[in-house]
Amino acid sequence: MKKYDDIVVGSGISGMTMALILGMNGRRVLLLEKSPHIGGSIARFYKKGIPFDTGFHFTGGLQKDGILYDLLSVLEIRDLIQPVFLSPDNAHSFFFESEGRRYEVPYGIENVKNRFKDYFPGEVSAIEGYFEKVRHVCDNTPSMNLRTLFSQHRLLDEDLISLEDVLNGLTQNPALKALLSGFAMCYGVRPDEISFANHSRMCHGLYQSVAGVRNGGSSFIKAFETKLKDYEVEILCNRHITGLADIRDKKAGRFILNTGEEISGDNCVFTIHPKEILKVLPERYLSRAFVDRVSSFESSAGFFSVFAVLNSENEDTDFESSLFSIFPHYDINRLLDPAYTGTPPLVLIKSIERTEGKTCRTVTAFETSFFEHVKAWKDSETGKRPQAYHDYKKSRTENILERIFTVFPEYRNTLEVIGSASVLTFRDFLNNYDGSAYGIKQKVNQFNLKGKLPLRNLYAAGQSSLLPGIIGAMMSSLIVGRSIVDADRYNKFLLKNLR
Amino acid sequence: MTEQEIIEITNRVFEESFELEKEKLKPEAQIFTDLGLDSLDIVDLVAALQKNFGVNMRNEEEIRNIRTLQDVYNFISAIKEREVTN
Repeated sequence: MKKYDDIVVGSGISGMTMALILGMNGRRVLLLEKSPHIGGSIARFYKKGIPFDTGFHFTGGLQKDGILYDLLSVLEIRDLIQPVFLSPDNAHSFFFESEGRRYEVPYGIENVKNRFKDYFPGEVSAIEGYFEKVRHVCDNTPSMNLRTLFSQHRLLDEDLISLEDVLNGLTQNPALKALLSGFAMCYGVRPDEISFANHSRMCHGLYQSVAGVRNGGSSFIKAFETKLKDYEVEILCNRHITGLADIRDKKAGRFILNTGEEISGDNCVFTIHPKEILKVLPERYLSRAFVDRVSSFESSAGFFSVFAVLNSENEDTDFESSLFSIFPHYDINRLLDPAYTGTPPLVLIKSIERTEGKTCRTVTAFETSFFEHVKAWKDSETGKRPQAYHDYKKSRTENILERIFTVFPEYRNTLEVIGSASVLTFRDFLNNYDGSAYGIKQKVNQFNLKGKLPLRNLYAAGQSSLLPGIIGAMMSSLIVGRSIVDADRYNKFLLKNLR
Repeated sequence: MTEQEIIEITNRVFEESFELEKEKLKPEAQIFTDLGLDSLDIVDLVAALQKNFGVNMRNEEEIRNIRTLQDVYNFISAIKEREVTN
């Protein structure tokens, strides 16, 4: 039986980060992946030779000394990741269909503030107040600055109040409120359910800068593959843990895999969905309270996606990588409610991809969707879904195209649809628990599953344990690393590559 | 909410969420020794109490000082009182 210091379950961005952190700290590490390839939702797919990203499109924090810049430095992969910054002046546009109004949001905190003040001259104090509160939260969240070594994490008052309540205390302007909470599409939780603190932690980076990455998610996977090899981390695909054995003093000694193989490890870190973790833990070691807590987690929003490419002969000089969010109206709470049956929000990600000597201009459309929308076909398998499901996909795709053409009429004859994906597609292709985009819903007053589990050598990391997105996912692994690696060594490791 | 209601709801949480027998739930019972919880169970306990009392319990300082069942009753009474005065 093979023996490891640490086993990491799930090879999405948090699992790869976790395995690399442990490997870099001199530990013998095994990384397990259920799918045939590592990467999880950060992986790209190619159709007709055109690359599309599934889970990673853009991020904040890649500017010099930004949080993601620092994280990549600590992991010694920063040189392998080339940021492609969006245009600072209008990286993100918001279009409200009910009003026919378009707002262009730049990045750089001062630029964002000033632009909002131009749009809403009567709301200067609300805008100042909002950004001051966001800054306060981020300044007081130690893990947002790796140099603090973030050993302590205390909850802030802003962790206990919803984004909605804070915004209501600042302004009554529905358009401003919608714009300030519009980034909810980047974490998939209603403004009256997310805490103001977590909203701030996720948006702060996007107010500073917005960037994609050359070759998208593939470049992260490639970088990690190189480094994991350097640190002799073993990777096994098509494997997952089905059972635990040799449980003594609340610690698991042996891990049984789906293939029948058995391995032993001192620690095991699960970066998978909390409800998948619950399935692996033996019931007799769990309290009802624990099971109830994990079972009560809800799903964040998912998406119905359309992957398309522009085929015009003449170079469209106006086309640049950018984000365009289309909201039917200002009520973001309603828009992110699974029971809402009206027109959903739609985010368009325009991207210029250079691959094998040719340049493609891709448009990926993400319309909010929930598991509830596809529940009728939940037991069907990929490739064997009933006609009704295909009809659903076809009609949603057509609707999305019409919405795109309303805003970009010039695309009507040049946009070619390459594929589409429902919440079920995301669930089944990514081995994702429920097809949601951001793991569990991050709600005010919720206790996530993070760090030590009821068996004391098992840990939870991943986007559901901390916060969604690439930064939250990677950071969750950095936090768990502190529980496993000796403190002095860990501090040196964190600081070694930070200037 | 009366003292008695707080005791009843708290005890029910311990019975149902940690499968403890009623007889063990005396005010002086030490939750880490007599009731067999460990430090990591506290998160689950707080989540369950929060749900059952419909309150917000994030004053970590006070939670960390909890030792006996009576401490839990007092902790909740204090939160409920603060709710009224606020």
